[in-house]
Amino acid sequence: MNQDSPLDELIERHLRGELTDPEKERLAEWLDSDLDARKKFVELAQWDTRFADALREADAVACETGAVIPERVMIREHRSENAFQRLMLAASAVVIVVLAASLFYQQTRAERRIAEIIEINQLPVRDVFIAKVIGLSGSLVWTGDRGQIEREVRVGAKLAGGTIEGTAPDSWFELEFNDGSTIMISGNSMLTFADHGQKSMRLKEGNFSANVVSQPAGKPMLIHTPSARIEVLGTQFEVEAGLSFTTLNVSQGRVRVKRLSDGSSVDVPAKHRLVATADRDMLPVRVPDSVHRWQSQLGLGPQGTYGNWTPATSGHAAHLKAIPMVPAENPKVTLYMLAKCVSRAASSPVILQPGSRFVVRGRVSSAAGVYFGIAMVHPNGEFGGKFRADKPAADFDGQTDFEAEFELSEFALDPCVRDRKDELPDKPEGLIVTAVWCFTVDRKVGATALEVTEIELIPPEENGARRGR
Amino acid sequence: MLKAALDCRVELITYARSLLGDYTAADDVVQEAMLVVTKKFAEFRQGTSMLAWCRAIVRIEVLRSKHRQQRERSLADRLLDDAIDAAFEDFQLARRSGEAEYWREALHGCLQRVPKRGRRVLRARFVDELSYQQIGERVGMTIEAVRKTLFRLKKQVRSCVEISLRTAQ
Repeated sequence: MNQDSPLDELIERHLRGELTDPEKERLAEWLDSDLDARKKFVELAQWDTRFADALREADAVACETGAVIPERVMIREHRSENAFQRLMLAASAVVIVVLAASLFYQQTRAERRIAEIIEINQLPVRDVFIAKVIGLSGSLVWTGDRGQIEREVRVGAKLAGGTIEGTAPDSWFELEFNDGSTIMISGNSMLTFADHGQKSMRLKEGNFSANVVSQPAGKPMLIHTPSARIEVLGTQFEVEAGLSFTTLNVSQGRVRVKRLSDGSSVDVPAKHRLVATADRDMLPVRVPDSVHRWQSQLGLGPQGTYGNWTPATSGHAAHLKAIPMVPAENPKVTLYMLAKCVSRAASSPVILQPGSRFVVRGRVSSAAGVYFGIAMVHPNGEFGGKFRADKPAADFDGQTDFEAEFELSEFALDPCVRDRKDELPDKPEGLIVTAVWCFTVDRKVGATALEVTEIELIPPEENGARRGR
Repeated sequence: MLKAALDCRVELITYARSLLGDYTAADDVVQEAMLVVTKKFAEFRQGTSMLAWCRAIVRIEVLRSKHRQQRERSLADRLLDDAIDAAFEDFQLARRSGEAEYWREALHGCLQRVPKRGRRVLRARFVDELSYQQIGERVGMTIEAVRKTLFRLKKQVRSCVEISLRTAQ
């Protein structure tokens, strides 16, 4: 072998700023997925810098002794100013160490530099913003284009590109791009977004839906997931991404999906869905009819759950135990929360009918109020609100297993979305349930432990029969 | 402590260069970062990694430099920056005291052994940062020949340095 491997070559060219965007993505994926590649990157970069450093040093000596070769004079002329500045800076660095007087000067300069850095990190992004936050709730973290981390994102905030991360099952975030296209993530999800004439996103994990207006010719919105690339020209759709699969549900229009494992692609028409995994045919199928009853089926595994999942044992059914979470809006309390996805992208949509009820079975270690929440979307994928029903501590003695019923009529808009009550439905009937969650509020950490063995949605036609059992 | 920070210079340039794709810009950024290090001197917690601490400061300077140049960061840039950050966090280690000087001497000695034409190719790539095509035009070689020559020279110098270091130990 007498030349660099493809990875070595990519790294070598990256260090000189020669990579195209697709090559950068390839290198990023390589580094993300391969520990050895990360190690090699650092090793090659170190060698490369040592080479460059030693050769430059040798060159500087040659320059001082007049031995510099003529072809380099041309280049040096272009760089002379820069080189002079660097030499001066290098000299200043030496002086810092040696002379106290100079240290004072350098510190003053450093103060100015720190002030500049702070100023830059606090610069309003309105001049470069690409999108505006139009709705959010729950725990979210936004990492901006310049690396700043923001936990208190507000509706109306204008953002440059960055990464938004929903850190709890009840997290929800909606963004409107300058052209009117909207995107939404919900639950534990992580999305990186950018728009430089072409909208480009990476959904690392979680749920994402979008309503995309017509995009410029040749510049479709791109959504990268760990297993697929999705191209959108203008449509409504939802995506769910995991490590090895991507599920796409198209409500309107047509979306192109490319599977990364073999490069095969397919167009998914309206009211169809596609699951892109390495071991399934790329075949869009019609979105199945909606259903009105649902069971958590925790015995099947931890997929789509939030909390500590425990399989069934001889004496106990499989169950989900709530885990602590500190809400950003009220850090003085600790919520013990668990959650379960309901209408996942690969299953039938579960629609709430008037008169339906939820039954939750489980246990709390001491008397505590139990809060039950549901997240809803409209059939076209738009956010439909979050609703909540509460049961007082008196209903849960903490001694025995409980079975709590939550009638649909008991649900009201969740406090965290009440500021949008004018645009959200006041009842969840007719909407699709995407997730359910359950929590207790604890002011003394660890005082109550909530476990759930089953959550069930019972449609109105089964109410009489069930209650009569 | 300042000396410990200055000992990390090559590692910090490596990191900055990996994010900026340009040696000269990386060198400038590290110089700027060193000024911040002198100011924030008191904030360094003894017992933690000096290299990691300096790297965090360099990271801010890199972002500032990109902002100053009004370089648009595409999605690919961001993803790659994050991946590179993670790689350095996992695998970049500070060299032991005095090790840098051994390295430097060994590398200079080994580069001296490279024939003149080979040194021109190395200089063109590492100092002038020319593309394979530009190097080919300068030294009268095809792109493929430049690629192979660089591969061979880097490998030769690298094994020469490793042997020199082993011998010195």
